[in-house]
Amino acid sequence: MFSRELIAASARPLLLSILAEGESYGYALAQRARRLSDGEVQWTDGMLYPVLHRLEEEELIVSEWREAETGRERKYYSLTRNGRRALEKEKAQWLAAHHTLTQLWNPKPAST
Amino acid sequence: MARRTPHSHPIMEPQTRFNLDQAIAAWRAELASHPGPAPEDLRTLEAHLRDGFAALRGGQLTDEEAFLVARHRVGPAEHVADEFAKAAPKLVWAPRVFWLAFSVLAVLLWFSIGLHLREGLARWMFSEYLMGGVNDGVKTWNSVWTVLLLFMPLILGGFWLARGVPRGITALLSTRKRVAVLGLGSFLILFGAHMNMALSHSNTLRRWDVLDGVEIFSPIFMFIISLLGLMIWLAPQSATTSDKTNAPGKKNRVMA
Repeated sequence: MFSRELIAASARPLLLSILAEGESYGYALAQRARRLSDGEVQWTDGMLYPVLHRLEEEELIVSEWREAETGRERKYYSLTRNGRRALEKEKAQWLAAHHTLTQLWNPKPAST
Repeated sequence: MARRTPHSHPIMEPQTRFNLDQAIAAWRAELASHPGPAPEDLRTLEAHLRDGFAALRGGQLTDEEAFLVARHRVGPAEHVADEFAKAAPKLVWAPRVFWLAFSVLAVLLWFSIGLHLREGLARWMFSEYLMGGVNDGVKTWNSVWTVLLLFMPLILGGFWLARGVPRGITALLSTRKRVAVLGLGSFLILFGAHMNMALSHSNTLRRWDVLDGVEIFSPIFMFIISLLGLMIWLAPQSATTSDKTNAPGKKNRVMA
């Protein structure tokens, strides 16, 4: 079970990674994160949109209102070049953290 | 008339006609009553709620049930508004400062109109008795008169506003243009009133002393002008003009 802190901390890399697959909108982003995490990551709107706001302010993503095929309007988010760079950094950090922890939890005979 | 949404139920109509637009409007109004979410946020949240609703309906749920579940998933209005407020404290403070500036301007305007009203009425009705305040009895009457005429409406108005800013006023001040026009109008009234005061007080003096009056009042005008600038800068943007900008005065947006 993800703690609140972990959900908050992982929101940024998760959103950037999902948007790296292509543009998307709020509801679909939340659904995608939920499915990928087998229901562990359930973002509330109160959490999701402020994070998207911040990413937009940092110019990592851009948003645009558009009418979807259903006729309803939606705000579509997509990754910017800065966003891709930020995602690479995030990836390196999370992989490093993962690598560090797995070394401790699954000690291989070769290490040290 | 219940408006049909694109995914209209093919099998049967719900027994009680549930109006999605009405339900969403009520939900939006509740959310908007809390400080935090900007008009743009409300629009985003509404799009989210509609997506959630569309995904849920068509199953075994009635439209109303689907709406209730979708609304529940978005979260309680208070909580959602809180999260937005935490993320953007500016959005909470900007309206507060705006209303403070608005009240100061309104009070200034009221006093400059009110003082003239009082002077005019007093001259018209009792001439020097009220204005002169020669003996104590007249002075007391004079101050009672002032309190009634000048302060009571302010106190009542304060109570009225304390119950929440009425929608009429918020609607009137919903765009920068309107705030600018209203503000300029108020400024002109204030200007006229103060100039009038300067002129009437210079009756005993020479004509040229009017210029001195202007000098005395110029700090007041500077104050009012800066107050107006502050109000226009902080003025709420209408939902249609805020399509692309999330918050007023964002640097990155200007460059984009």
